[in-house]
Amino acid sequence: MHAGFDELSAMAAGQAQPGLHVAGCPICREELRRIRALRRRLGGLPGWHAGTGGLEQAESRLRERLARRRSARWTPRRALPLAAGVLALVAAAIVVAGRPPRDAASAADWVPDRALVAENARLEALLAVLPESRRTRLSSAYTVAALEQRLAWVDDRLTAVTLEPHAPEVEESLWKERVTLMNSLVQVEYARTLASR
Amino acid sequence: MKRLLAMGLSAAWLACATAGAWAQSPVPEDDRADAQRELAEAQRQLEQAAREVARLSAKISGPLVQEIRRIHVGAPDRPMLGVNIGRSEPGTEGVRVLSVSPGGPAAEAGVLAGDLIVALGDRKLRTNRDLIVGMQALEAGEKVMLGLVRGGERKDVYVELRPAEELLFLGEPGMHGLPPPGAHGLPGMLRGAHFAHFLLGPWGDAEFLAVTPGLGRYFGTDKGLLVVRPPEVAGGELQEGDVILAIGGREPQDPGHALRILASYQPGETVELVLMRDRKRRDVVLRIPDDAGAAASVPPLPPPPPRRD
Repeated sequence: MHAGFDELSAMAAGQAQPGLHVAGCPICREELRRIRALRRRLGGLPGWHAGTGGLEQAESRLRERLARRRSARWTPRRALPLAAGVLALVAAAIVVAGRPPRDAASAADWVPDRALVAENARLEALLAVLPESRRTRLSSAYTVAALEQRLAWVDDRLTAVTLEPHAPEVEESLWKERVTLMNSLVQVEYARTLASR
Repeated sequence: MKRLLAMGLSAAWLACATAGAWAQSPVPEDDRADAQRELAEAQRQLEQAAREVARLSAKISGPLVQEIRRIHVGAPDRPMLGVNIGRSEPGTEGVRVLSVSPGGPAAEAGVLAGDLIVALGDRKLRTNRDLIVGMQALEAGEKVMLGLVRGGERKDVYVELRPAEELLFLGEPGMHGLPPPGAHGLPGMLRGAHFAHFLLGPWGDAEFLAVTPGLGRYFGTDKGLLVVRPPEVAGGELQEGDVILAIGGREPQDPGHALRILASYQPGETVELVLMRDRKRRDVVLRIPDDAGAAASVPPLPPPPPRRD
């Protein structure tokens, strides 16, 4: 019998060792690899602070739903990619809610451009590994296009900034906006990927 | 803003929760239908939050970039690469790409953040200004070679430039941090408001799937967009199972591309579609809804931000 989501996520988190089945089963090994890769990539999400109430409610709802369907037969080939998506957002939520604010000491050393550029690069890398969702509602395509066009506009302004005398407050504001927009785009694309399966 | 982001993440959570539950099989048909409805609703909430993030972020940064906007020279139809470049690096010849606009021309050509652009067509680039000047000699729609250095190795890609005006086709008035359409007569902004109305309304649930060669065997074509769910108001012009081969003479590569093609039409205009229906080619004409309803649905425009002279 294939390993369940809870088991695989515990293995990915280093809280359990892969058993004999997982070690010898290509399906479980592949899903474990995928979950580990997602955890690594999501470890670098930017540190904005979300309220936790909504997340807790959603998590509670997820657990209730899974418990209600526990008697259903487990089909890892179909379910694990989705579970990996769930784990990805769990990891994102943990990172987002758990990252401490920058303290005064580190703020003094903080170079805004480089930190924001690095956060952007991580989000771009994350977006690049999401599977392409070929099936799309027009309203979803519109949302993605609106975010992408806003991002293109921000990039256009950032390029213009390089030709002008240095205006750090403008540059930083644009980079922050880019992080925010990339965050939204990654979330929307996650949901779109899940919905299209 | 943080509240919106939290809403977005919560909605994503909800989407995944529903999807995760849905993934277990078999489930009763009623439960599956419920889960599908909830997933669709969660997705709508997430997307609404994302659009709100885009709108509000424009409000925040809009006033800050007034100065740049005034100085930055460029016609509305100037070509766009879709990259954000860094300042020229002393001792380095070329232009460093700091980020690539997702879905933009450079992204589609495979340009990556961190690449060094060393050539634009035949022109060698030494500084970021060389790239800006080089772009001014080009036109939207042209395909241009970009010489890149990535990991120490030279790599050439070809980018089809898009008009910067496309940036204005989607969104709501004020979303891009630009003045309202009435002030400067920006038709793109008007179209943006219009498209927001009908794409989030009657056409919003229409669903398309890019045809692959394997799937295409059933439909008699190996390209185009399969209509999984037609727009509810299309009046039968589009039907489930149709494959859209061309929109106004252009071949849609994916639903986002179809959206961009549609956005190039004015409200009230008609657009000719070439379809494959029952394995036979067929031409139909769609009318882009006029903006009478859109005008009523768009909230009043905010006052323009103060100039920072």
